[in-house]
Amino acid sequence: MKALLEHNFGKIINTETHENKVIFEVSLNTNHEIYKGHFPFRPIVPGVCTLQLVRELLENHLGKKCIFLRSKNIKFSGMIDPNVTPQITIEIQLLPTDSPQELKIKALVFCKELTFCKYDGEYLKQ
Amino acid sequence: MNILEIDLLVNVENVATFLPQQEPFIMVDSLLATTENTAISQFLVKSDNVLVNDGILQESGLIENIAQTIALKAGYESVLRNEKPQIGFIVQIKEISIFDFPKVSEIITTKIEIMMQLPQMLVIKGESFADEKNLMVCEMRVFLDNPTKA
Repeated sequence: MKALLEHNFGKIINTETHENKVIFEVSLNTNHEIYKGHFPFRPIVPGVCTLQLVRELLENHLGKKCIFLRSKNIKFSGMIDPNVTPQITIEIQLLPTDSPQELKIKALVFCKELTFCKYDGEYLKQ
Repeated sequence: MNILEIDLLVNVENVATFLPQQEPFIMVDSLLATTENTAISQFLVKSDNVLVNDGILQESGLIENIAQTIALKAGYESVLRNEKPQIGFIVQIKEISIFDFPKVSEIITTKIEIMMQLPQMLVIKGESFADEKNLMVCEMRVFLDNPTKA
């Protein structure tokens, strides 16, 4: 099996790069096989897949593999039904670190006024 | 601990009846033990798992495994009471550290401990291992809801 982006879970439709910040517009694929099981009665984007999407987008952006190390706080404040919300915005802010291998980010996953996920994360760049 | 030698409360054959999640998004195989405040589960990482990439179960799979261990404990207890399993949504993960990622064909053993239980909210501490190797640790808040009918 493939990573989510390679496996057509979602598609990047726009990328906006600022200094230390990158914003992705991602369209979600309602027909992805994950929704057969999550859940059979209603498709909901698994919260853990949102986290993985952020990491994959980060890897795309940096052209490097990023390994999840830790996070102090990951907050999910809403559920994404891809039929209701077929497009989400993922904003990743790159924070300063002590070494070039370390990566610290703040990520926000939202659609217009609705926030779905907010977190800080530390990764190892490879 | 050899999983074949003990009586499992829930095993890979019937796990789907205790969970609202279904294939291909089942990230736990068996429930080894539960007490009022703890549960231990196991999960075999297979190559066709939707959260496996390059032969490794990614952070999404590790975290979902913790969440589904909670769901399985709650689901098992619901079935004992003749109720439908509730759906759990992760609302917060705190102080998560991942030390290592399990490879395909490794078995993850996951331990959760309930720190606080409210009618619709569980706060737990979760940890997973592959053999003796600690894979991850985290604190998780899960919101429990009754399943909506299709």
